[in-house]
Amino acid sequence: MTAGKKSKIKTKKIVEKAVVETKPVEVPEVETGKEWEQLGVPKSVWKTVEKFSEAKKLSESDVKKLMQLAKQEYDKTVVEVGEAVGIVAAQSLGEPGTQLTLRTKHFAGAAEVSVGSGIQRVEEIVDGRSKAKYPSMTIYLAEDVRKNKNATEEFANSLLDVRLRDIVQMDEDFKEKFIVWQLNDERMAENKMDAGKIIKKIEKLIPKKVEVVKRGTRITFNFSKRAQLKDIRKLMLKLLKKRISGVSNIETVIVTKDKKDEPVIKTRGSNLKAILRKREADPVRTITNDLEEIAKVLGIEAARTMVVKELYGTLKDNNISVDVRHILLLADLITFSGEIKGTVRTGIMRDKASPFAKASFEETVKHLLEAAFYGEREELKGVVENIIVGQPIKVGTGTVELIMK
Amino acid sequence: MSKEGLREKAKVYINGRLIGFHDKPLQLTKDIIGSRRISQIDSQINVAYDEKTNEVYINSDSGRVQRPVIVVENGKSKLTEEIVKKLQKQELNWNDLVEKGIIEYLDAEEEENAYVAIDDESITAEHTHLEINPIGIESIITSMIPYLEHNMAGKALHGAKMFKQAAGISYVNPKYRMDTEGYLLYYPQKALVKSKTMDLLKMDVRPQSQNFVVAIMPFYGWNAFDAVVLNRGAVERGLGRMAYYRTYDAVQKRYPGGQKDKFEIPTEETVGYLGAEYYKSLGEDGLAEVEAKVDGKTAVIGKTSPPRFLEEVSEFGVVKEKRREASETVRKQKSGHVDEVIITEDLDGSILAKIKVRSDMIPEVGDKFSSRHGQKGVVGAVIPEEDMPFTQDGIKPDLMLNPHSIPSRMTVGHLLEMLAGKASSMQGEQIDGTPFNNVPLSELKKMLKEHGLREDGKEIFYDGITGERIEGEIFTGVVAYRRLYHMVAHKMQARSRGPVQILTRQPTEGKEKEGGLRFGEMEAETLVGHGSSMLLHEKMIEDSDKVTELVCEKCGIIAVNDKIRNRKYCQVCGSTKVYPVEMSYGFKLMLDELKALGMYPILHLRDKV
Ligand SMILES: [Zn+2]
Repeated sequence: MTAGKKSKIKTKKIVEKAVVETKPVEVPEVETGKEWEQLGVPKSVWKTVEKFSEAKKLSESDVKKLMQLAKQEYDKTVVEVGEAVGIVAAQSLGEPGTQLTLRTKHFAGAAEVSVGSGIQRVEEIVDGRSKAKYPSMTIYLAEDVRKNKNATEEFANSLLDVRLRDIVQMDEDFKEKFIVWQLNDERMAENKMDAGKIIKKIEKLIPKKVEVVKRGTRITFNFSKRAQLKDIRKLMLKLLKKRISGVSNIETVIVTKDKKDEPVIKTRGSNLKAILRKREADPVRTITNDLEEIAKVLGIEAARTMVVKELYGTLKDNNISVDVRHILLLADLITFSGEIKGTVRTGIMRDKASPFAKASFEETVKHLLEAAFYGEREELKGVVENIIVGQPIKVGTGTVELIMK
Repeated sequence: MSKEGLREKAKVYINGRLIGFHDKPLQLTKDIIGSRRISQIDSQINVAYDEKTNEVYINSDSGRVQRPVIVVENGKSKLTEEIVKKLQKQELNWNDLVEKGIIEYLDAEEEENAYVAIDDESITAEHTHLEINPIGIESIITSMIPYLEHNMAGKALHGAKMFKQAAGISYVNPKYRMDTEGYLLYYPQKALVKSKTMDLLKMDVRPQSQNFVVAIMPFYGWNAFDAVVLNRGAVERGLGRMAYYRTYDAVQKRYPGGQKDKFEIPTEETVGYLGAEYYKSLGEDGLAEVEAKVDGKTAVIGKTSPPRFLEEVSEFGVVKEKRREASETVRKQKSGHVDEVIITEDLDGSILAKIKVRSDMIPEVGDKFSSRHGQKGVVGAVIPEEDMPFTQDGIKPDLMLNPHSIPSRMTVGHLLEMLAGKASSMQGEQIDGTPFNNVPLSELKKMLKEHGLREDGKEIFYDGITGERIEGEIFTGVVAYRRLYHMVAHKMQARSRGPVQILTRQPTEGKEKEGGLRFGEMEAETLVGHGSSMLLHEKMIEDSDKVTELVCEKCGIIAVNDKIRNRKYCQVCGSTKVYPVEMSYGFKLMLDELKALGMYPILHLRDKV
């Protein structure tokens, strides 16, 4: 074919190649982090970018490029509309849960404080049981106490819940109507208590009208011959229950060190409210594993954080890594009502609006009957409900519908 | 006696019941054992003292497992050479030994107090008993595993479990037995490597294994993951071939009113007639002929029953009674030949027919084989003989085992059995592989060397396809392999369409009913997790129990379609404003059940796009 002549044959067009173009996310010109935040990038992301740029002394345009990349990467991790987050969270927590063992972890050395770990603890949290099986506190100390070993020991011992019955040996003579209390030296030594002080404390507790003879570590109660045996008994039991030192519910204390080698007090038994009031304790870092108590003393948000922390920690202790967002979702579900509700039929399932969802979980007949009694409406919003009815579920590809025009 | 005094005394229990207290529990146990040894009391009485709880248990009840051991006193076995000589001369027998207290039976509780030496040499002053034979510490089945002491305990257990699944000759009268199910290995062989227990059980007369030439080598990936490769030539020569028997029976039942069932070839008028081809193997008497071929679902016993309702009166008087089809048909996938036909009477005096159908089970891909060491595997391929690798002597293995099966399982016994089997086949006699007391490796090596083989059991192989020498040497030997009764032919199942349950209209479950595999709750959740909503809908509704029901817009209740008058209307309000709605039949069923409970479920409708 000679040059200049145009070919008359018109060739049909064919598809040369198919390209799916990816457009970079358009990033408006922004300078400060605040505006970044308005774009939907969380503070932690842009703070990291800023910090990094500063450290590496990046040029302004480079910083912008980096921000752009960060925004893109961040957007990728954001959950999409229609994602079944609940199911994914349930599966992500449930699958490694099968590896959890029925272990009770014992702290090395002093076999005093043992905390249920593994499946027991996870179940406890997820089911929202009102009392932890092994309530335990980790008490951090105020700075001056922390540095003084003796003060720490002393504080720890002062927490121990000691009742009169723990240190007193009682001999009764109901014929002559007198009762002898003998302080148990061994017990006193165990709890590092001073006999003189204790006796004084006891005296304060005893009602004035009772005649008492005191000799050394021995106290004798003399009752009038006419006194009723029943009354004597009652009085004695009441007295023996009296606490002479410590904080109620704290059964055992040990001073150990935390991961950062800082002295802490671990306890069996928990009483957050009382401990937080103590001057010697650090009220910021002191924690208990009793979620109910946290919710009561510090509020539900604190309890939510603790649910996340405990679940994540328990799983981590068993070498299981779960994305924290699954746990966050679960923790929200457990606490969003304002109180701790487990994922059981008496917990969050009870609050569900859908009668079908409730019926398909547990106690089918009961829930259906209840729905009938109150004339409940099934809105068919959830997953199970739509499976039951036989409609596509409104998740993933089912979130969209066609509209006829 | 004061309470305090009792606390120090040992409690004495007879058969679990507290009967009293004793000052010197140790002396008591000693006395009881002593009098048992001089036959003052029965040999089946056992006594044990628990030091921890300070309790003496005396047991004489039934149901305890006992085992015999030789008594050892002062570090010396009571079974002296003198007594052994007398035994050999048959001047003494077993019962004499028990009576004399040379051998005694221990139960589980008394064994806790005993210290049993495994053999003569290891007796010390502390020992109280001696094993009659070291294999006494193993069960009967476990002790049939040769070179067991070289295996891992778990694998011994595996091996022992599979003895129970092996086809062989498990009874002496296979021809006359009419078991519902039975297996018979066609050419069983004595195991080349045997154990003493096998002798005692006469396993040589009723063997359950065949001696396979085994090469431990991979074969083009066909024996990956515990699969084994079989030699087609060997299979065609009868390797691992067995018969599967299944017995079908039927009774000519008598009904009140003189009616009764009848064995016959059902006629076309019979209600539920299956079709002529289903009755082709039946003889005139309605029973299948011996050696007739029967396919799955065809009849082996032709039977008709009287009609359920007697007086079916038509306009022209009583009609000829229509009998019902009640034939016994061969199970699907269990076709074969009729092996035996028996006609007899059952307890009520009715005529009972039993037909045993035999199917040849030729090893195929998917069938299961196992050695005695817990090395089980499924056939991954049956390779034509000409393609099999061969040694310089022209020997082709019957079975190729993947080398990866060995190291992690630590079944050294398997390897030793291979060597022993090889030596045995060269020597021409069985080799004793009894656990703890067998022909040692050094001896095996010597034997192999004597017959001109390498003492490490390795051979040089040539590829059967290319003819090239295979790099490396391959460990080869002879192992007793067992055919296990799990067979693909009986397990294979698939469904694309098929029967549904009457109540729910969902696909049936289970192999016998041509069922599908359940797409259960957890499976459904996986689809939800992926957001595959439409696929889930298809699996749960479209492929299952989808129906289109009419629903009244006003009442929200299922309406009807009167096909005769061609009218769709609501039975409650009579409205004809009814619309078709797709739903699962299961849901419709639930609505019906709710209504039956007195609830009124109302459906609110909306336009579907
Ligand atoms: Zn209506």
